[in-house]
Formats: sequence, structure tokens, C-alpha cells
Amino acid sequence: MAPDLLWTLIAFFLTILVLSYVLGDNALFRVVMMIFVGISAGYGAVLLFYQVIMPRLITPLMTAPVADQPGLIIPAVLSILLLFKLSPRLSILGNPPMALLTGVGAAIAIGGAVSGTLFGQISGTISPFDLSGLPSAGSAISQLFGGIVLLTGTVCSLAYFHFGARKKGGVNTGAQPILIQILSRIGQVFIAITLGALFAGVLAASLAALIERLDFLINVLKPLIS
Amino acid sequence: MSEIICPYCGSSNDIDALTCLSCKKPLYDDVEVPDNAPQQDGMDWLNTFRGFDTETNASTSIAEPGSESADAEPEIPEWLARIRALKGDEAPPLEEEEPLPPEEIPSLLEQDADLPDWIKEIKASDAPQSGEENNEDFPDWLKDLSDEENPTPEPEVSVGSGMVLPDIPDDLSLDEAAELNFNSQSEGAGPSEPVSLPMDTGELPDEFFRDIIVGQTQPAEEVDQSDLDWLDERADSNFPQGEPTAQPLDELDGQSLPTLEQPEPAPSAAETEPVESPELPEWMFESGEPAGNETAEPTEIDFAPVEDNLAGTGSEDLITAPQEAELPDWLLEDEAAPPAQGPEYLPEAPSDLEAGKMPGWLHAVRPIEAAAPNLVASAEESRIEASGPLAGYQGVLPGQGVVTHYSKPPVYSARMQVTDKQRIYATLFESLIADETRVGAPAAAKTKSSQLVMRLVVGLVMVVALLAILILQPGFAAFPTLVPPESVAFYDSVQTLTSAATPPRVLVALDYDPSLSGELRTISTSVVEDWMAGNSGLAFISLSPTGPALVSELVNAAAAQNPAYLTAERVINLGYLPGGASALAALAINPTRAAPTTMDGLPAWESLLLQGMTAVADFDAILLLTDNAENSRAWVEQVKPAAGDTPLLVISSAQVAPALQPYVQSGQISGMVSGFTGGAAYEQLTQSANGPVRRYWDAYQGGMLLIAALMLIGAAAFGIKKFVRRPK
Repeated sequence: MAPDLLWTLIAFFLTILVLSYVLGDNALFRVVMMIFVGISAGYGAVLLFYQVIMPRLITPLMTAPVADQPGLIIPAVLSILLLFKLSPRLSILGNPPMALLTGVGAAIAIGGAVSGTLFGQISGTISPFDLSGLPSAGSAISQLFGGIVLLTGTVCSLAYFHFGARKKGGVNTGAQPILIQILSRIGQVFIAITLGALFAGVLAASLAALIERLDFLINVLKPLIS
Repeated sequence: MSEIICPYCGSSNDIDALTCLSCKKPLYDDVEVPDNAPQQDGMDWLNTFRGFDTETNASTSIAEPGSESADAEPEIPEWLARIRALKGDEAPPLEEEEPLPPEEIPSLLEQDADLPDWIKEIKASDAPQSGEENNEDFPDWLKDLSDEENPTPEPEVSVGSGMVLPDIPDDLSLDEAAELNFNSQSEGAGPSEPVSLPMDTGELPDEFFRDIIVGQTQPAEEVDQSDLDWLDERADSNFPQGEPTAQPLDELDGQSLPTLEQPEPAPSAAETEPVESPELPEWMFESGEPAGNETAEPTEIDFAPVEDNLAGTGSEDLITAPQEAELPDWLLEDEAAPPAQGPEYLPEAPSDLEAGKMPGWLHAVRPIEAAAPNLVASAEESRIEASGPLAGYQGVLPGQGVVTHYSKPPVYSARMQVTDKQRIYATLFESLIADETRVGAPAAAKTKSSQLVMRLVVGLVMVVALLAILILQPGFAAFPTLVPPESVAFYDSVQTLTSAATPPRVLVALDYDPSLSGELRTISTSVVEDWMAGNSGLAFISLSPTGPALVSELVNAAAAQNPAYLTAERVINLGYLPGGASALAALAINPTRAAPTTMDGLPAWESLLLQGMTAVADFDAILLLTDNAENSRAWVEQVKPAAGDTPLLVISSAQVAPALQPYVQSGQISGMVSGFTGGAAYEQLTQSANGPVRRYWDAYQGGMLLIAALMLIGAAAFGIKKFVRRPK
């Protein structure tokens, strides 16, 4: 039996077992899930060792000149300290690398969000109102209408997440201002449309994956049947 | 109301009781009643019922500290002083009477023919003791007291027996004082017409007024004829000669002073008839009692002999019959008893006085110690400790006896006493709960089975329908004619780069899981094929550990359609890039350090494909294959700013397309193909007749229609079900 045919048959049966979930949560489905988790973990560990640890830590430490050693020892020490997180008693030793990872990750995320998303989205929201260079009035009206809808959706969606309440006589009444309430109502419509589109996208992606798997089954069974 | 429980019999007693009303045993172990205490205490509680004001009594009894009355105060029983004060308060003002000339006073004193019999009796018994000539008969101690008397008046003036006029200045006339005091009393005592003085009292000196007041509080034996002489001298010296303006002492008191101190209206004439000033004996005037008080009751004139007996002659026995009628027997008994205890009390109760009868209410509220003062103390002191280290001692606290009286606490049943009706209700309630439990379980099973059936039916319908479509390939679904602008932009970018003279070098990032490889691989295969058709150099990198394996599968699938494409030379796999957003930031800054080697461990940036490239911007395009919105945003945020004009093209799953659409609208993503719809649009643009998306397009469209139909059917069934169940 050729290896491809063997792996194809394994994939076929595993696919059937996964599809058995249509009958509910059963042991066959859980077995397949365990296999997938185990394989993914093993594959990831091997991959990380050969793709990350060996070429980026051990090999440089072995082969790099002495002048470059300090720059490699620090990551090595931090990596070793990170392993102490496995022990509850010694987990405190893993706090420094965790703090480093968290701090660096937060700084990068915030910087990227401000420069990549915030400024970019503001610019994208304003750009439809730039009607210069449009070939016709119809295009300008269409772009302007789209810009208004986009701006309205942006403002109203942000207003929906405004949780501040009005203070009356120094007492928080728990009620939002009238303008915020109106904008948040409109924002609810935009958010509902967005969530509906996301759900439709998930459904479409799942349907595409099912179709691909069913086509795989057909391609496996077709030679056998014919 | 608080009460105290008798430790011996357990009966309830009033909080003020010292002995138990039931068993007559002491309520307190440390009670010691002094021998003379009952008399004083008895008077205190009686005074409270009579409404005495202690301050008034004090002011009444203590008129002048330096005067003889103040000196004699300790010898006057308190009850007598209060009775005098009460009489002084209750005595109505005397009606206007004809003033008597001073010369008539002796004659009046001698006129005792019209006196009542009882006064005569008292007179007969006391006559030798009153009067100037009888001073010799006084006891020695009384004489001593008389010698010690200080006739000097004090600034504080006592008016009558019940009033004190404090701080009356010397220059204040009698009219002003009388008007002032009357007004002050009339405000609180109701309407009362002031009685004008029969004489011009303004002409009287202050000393005269004070002398009168002092004389009122003096004992009878102290106000003798010499005092009257002193008064006559004052009158003769201050009043004009020949005018009968100087009034006798008794008349002055009876006309002026009661007006000052009596807030009550004057009694009727009939009430005043029995007592007339001219008929009073001489000793009555010597008593110092204000004449105005005599008008209230004829017996009040007996206060003169009462004062005569203050020196220890048993004056309390001289209380008149009406007063005896008001006083309880026990009080009289108590007052009669003390002489045996002290030398100042002489129990000489007149046998002819009718004993009063104690009211029932007074008898009920009488404190027990007043009736039996020595009961508690005697019972306590007579007890001798019989056991323990204190055996033989007397008066020990009765701890053992009290402890032995205690018994075990009663044992109560813990069982709930339930009536038959309550038991029926409880049974009914239990049955209701049991029914609810029995009904709930089958409903849950029914719901679970229905859900399982529904899931099975829907799954089978979907699978069967899709299999049928995939097998039959009916071709009922047309490719979309309207192509999204992002797909057009994507196609234009690919065509622009692949049609260039120099083969483009593209950084392809795989960032999707194997679970969605069926969608993304189908979509991206045709795109990669186009890149390969343009002999583009492809550098694959992955943010997922499973990405390198997916890269091999994708490259192999695309290369199968382009046999002439040199995969070994034009494709390089940079492998897995750990670190998420941080790794992307590092890749954007210096890709040679972020991903230095290939999947095989070779130096990636020294290969022919990537030689000379040091930044992300050196690539002609960046192609991102993703099913994760977060990682896609990280690419846009971290890499796109460093890429510059290098277009960022995205092939995404359908589930992240809405999240990436804003970046497409803002131009941060140059083009995007999402889901089968985007793949179909791309193949439509490339005019690919045998693309992978076209092969699945019928199944995809059929599946979407089936899902929509099932959703509508489910919604209709749910609505009908709710509509049918509503009437119930």
C-alpha cells in the first residue's frame, strides 16, 4: 500500500469520525480530538525546537564569538527562568521574563494600535469626504453618501460603548444623556449588522470547510466505487 | 413596669419593695433599715403623693439662716414643716376685714368665749405654756434655744409659711413687693383679684415688714409679749401719732401677706365665719402663723400650739381632726412612735381626737418598709451560716440557699407540634413539589432528544445535499458578475506585479489553522498559481506553528498546475516566526534578524531569491493568508507602516472579512479576497474555467441556500409553535 493511500485512508476515517459529531458528542469524536491535540502539540514542540531553540539560541551560543555571547546569554537566562513558571513554589522566578514579555507586548500593541489602527481608521473615515479628483458628480454623491454612512456608523458605534452616566446635582443618576442615547441606538443597528456579517462569515467558512471535506471523501470513494 | 422577683417564693413585687408581699421575706440581702428611717421615708413617699415641692419646703423651712427659725429647723420634723407649707399654700386669701387697732389685740386675745370647744380644750391644755408669764415653765433646752435666737433679719425674706421673697431691697415698699409677687403668682394660678391693702403700707419701714415675716416663722414661745412690745414701738415710731394706721400683727398678716402669696381665690364668708380674729386667743397671735391662713379652715389656728410644741412637747399630736382625717393611721403611729427613740418626741396623743382612717388607695401604695421597717433587717441579721468556711457567722449572704433552690431547666421537646390541618397542607405541598420534579425530568429528556433529532436531521440534510451537488455537479449556480472592489484591487495588484518585466518577490505569510485550510487553500491556490505563472519569487513565513506544513501543501498544490515553475529556486520557506505582534514588529524593522534561516536551517537572506533584501519594503508585495482578525490587524499595524508603498494583499477566510473591511476601506490593505465569494470573484476576473472555487461553487451556493431555507423553516416552526402554545 502506497504511503499516500495509507494517509488518505487515515484522513478519510478521521474525517468520518469528526462528522460523527452530527449524532452528538461521542467517544469517537473525542478520540479524534485527542489525536489532533496530541499531534499538534508534538508537531509544535518539534517545530519550535528545531525552528526556534536550536537555530536561534543553542547554535549561536555554541558558535557565536565571545563578544556576542552576552547578547545571547540574557535571552537564555530569561528562557530558563520562564520554565520556573511550571513550579508553583518557584514561579516567582519566572516573573521577570513574564514582565518583560508583557511590557514589550503591551508597548508594541499600543504603538501599533495608535499608528496603524487609530490614525489609519480616522484617515479612512475622513477620506470619503475628499471629493477632489472624482470623474463625475454621481461618483461624488455616491462617495459622499458612503462617507456619511461610514462616519455615522463609526460615531454611533463608539457612542454605543459610551458607558458614562449623567450627574444631576452631584448624584449619578445612571442615565445617559439624550444625545448619547440616540446615537447609541443607531450604533446598535450598525453593530447588529456587523455581528450578523461576522456570523454569516463564520457560517460560510464552515460550509466551505465542509464542502472541501466532503469533496475529499468523494475523491477517496470515487476510485473505490468505480 | 419593672418589678423584682422574690428569691424565696418567686412572686413578683414592685421595684420599690424591700420585702416580698407574699412571703414577707427580704428581697435584698443587704437591706438594713435604720430605726429612724421609716419615719422619714414614710414622709417622703407621702409627700410625693401630696405633691409637695421639696424646694418650696426648703424655702419654707429655711427662712433665714441666722434667724431663730433657721436655728430651730433641725428640731422641726420635716413632715410638720411640709404640712405647714401645705396649709400655707392652700389657705385662701382672707377677705377684707376691718383692721383692728393695736390696742384691741390684748382684748381679742383674752376673748375666748366664742372659741369652739376643741380650741378651748387645746387652750386649756396649753394655756400655761403659752404666754409671757409661762416662760418659766419651758424646759431648759427650750429656754436655751430662746436665748440663742437672733432677731436680726436676713436679706432673704420669708413671707408666711409658704413663700419666700428673695432679695427684696430695703427701699422696696410693701405695695411694690405685694404687687410684684401677686402678679407673678396670678400668671400661673389663674384669675385672682388682688386685695388692696387696707393701709398705706408704703409708709411701713422694711424692717417692720421683715420683722413680721420673721415672727411668722418663729415658734410660739419665742414670740412673746416682748416681741409685741417691740412691734408697738416700731409702729409708734414710724407712723404718725394719733392715726390708727398701725395694724395689729395678726391683721397685717391676714390682709397683706395672703394677698401676696395665695393664688387661690378667697374662700366664702361662711368658711371664714368660724374663725374670727377678735376671738383668737393671745397665744394664737404669738404663734407667728399668718392670719390669712386661718381663714381657710378654722382648725389651722392649731398650728400655734403645734409650734409651741416644737421643742419636744409632742406637737405632732396636736394635729387637728380634719388633718388627722387626711393623714393615714400609720403616719400617726409613726409620728407617735419616735419619741421613744429621741428625746424631742413626746408621745402624748390626745385621747379625745378621733383617729382618722387611712384611705384604701394610700394603704395600697404604702411602702412596706413604712409598715414593717425592721422586718428585712431582722430576717437578714437573724440568719446564721450553717455550712462552709463561714459557718457560724451571722448575716452572711445567702448564696447557698439561693443556689439550692434552682432546679434543672425544663426539657422541651424538639419535635414540631403540628396540627392535622398543617400536616395536610405539608403533604399537599410535598405532592406539588414531587409533581413538579416528575414533570421536569421527562420534559428535559424530550428536549434533548428533539435537539438531537433536529441536529441529526439538519446534518444529514446538509451532508446529503452537498454530496449530491458535489457528485452531480449540476452547475445551477452562476459565478458572480458583480465583483467586490477589494477583489478587483487584489486582482489588479497581482496582474500588475506578475506582468512586470522583473519577476516580483512576494512575502507570503500563512496565518491560518489547518481547520480552515480547506477554505483558504482553495481560495489561495489560484492566486499562488497566478504568482507562479508570473515566475514570482515567493518567501513563505508563518505566524502559526502549523504554518510551515501548510506552506508545503499549498506550494505543492499550486506547483502542480505550473510544472514549469522552479519551486526549489523561486520558493523559500522561512518557517515559523514566534512572538506574535512582537515578532511582526521585529520583522518589519529587520527581517534578516527576525527570520534569519529557512525551514531547512540555511541562511535565508543569502539565497538567490532574497539576496540583497534587508527590509520588508524591499518586497514587491506582501500576501497575507489569514483566518484570524487579531493577527491580520497586527500585520496591518506593525508591518504595513514599515512596508511603505509595498501593497499588502490579504486572502482571508469569510469569517474575518467584516473585521478587515475597514482596513480595506482606509487603504491600509491594498486588496482582499475573502471566502469562496472572493475566490469566485477572483477566478471570474482571471477567467479561470477550472479553478478550485468554481468546482465548489455549486455546492457552496446550494449549501448557502439550504442553510437559509433551514433557518427560515426553523423560524417559521418556532413561530407556529409559539402561536399554538399561546392559547394554553
